[in-house]
Amino acid sequence: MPSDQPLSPSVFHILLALAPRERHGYAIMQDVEADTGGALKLGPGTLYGCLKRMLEGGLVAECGERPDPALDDERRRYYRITERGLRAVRSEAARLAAAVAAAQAKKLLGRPLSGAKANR
Amino acid sequence: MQSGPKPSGVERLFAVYGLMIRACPRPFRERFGQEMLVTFRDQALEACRTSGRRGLWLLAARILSDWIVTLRREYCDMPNLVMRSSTLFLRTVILLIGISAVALLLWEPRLEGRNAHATNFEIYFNDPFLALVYAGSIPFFVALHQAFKLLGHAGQSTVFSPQAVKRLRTIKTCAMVIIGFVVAEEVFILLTHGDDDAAGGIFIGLVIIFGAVVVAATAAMFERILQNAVDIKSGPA
Repeated sequence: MPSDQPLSPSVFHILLALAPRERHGYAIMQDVEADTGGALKLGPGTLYGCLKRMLEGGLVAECGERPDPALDDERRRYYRITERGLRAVRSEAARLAAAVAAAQAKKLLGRPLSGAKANR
Repeated sequence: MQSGPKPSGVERLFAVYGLMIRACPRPFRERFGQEMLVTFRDQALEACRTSGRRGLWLLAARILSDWIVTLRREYCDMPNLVMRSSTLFLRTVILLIGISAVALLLWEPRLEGRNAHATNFEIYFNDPFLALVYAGSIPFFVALHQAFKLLGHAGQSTVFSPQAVKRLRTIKTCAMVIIGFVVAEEVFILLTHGDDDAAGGIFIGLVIIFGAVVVAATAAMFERILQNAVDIKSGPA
């Protein structure tokens, strides 16, 4: 998974969810759903399938320690974004922003989009 | 996270999802299975809390399609070596079944009491029942060959392909043709032997019919599942 390649929507949104801080699987799902206004709902199979490939590609890494071990289910694992993952998500965001700008220039978008909507 | 009592619907879904995860490839299941279960439990509790039983049904439908896409992707993604080593064993078993069947078909007529003093020609070419059995063995060997090829698809990670679906369809058809042949053989036994000495032959025929029905039903089920998976052109990610 080279960092300069276009990312699939699921991978892009998982990286977005992990960009601010480490997260466990269910928190990633909730963030992705919130970021996309409910348009992208990941199932556990899709989420962990993506995480498996992202771990192999070095875009994310597993956290050694859990942020709140006392309150947490020990089977839960936390993931964090890597430097490579950050480069990949930045490059994808720039690609999407360029695509939105091109669409606006051709008057395909009525008004400028911002925030989460621009990522869809 | 949640440690209190869970609604019974969530418990049941949780148990079913646990079984569904067992169908995933072993390396994926061992690495992520527990996490998937925990995540699913959180999803189910949230769905139950916000939308009750209806939320659980909607979640179940979403999870089912997510599971099918995941199975397809993870099996296609398995290293060939792992798949090859596991399918190699099954292919060997099929080969041994085929060799044993050939040996039995050639050897058994020699054991018949009435053939004790017969020549080879009389044993093999003078018995209409044996001709019927040999004709009926053709679909059996065709089905074995197709099963052998199907395992080759699994070894090359191309099991979710139209060719694999076609092979399953052929296996199903062969099983049904075999049933037809065995019924014809049963009728032949009844007509030529009457009530005397027919019970053993009839019983063996019924066992073969039962086996063929199980094979046909299993092949039909997998044909449908594979067809669905092939039809899903691309899931998320």
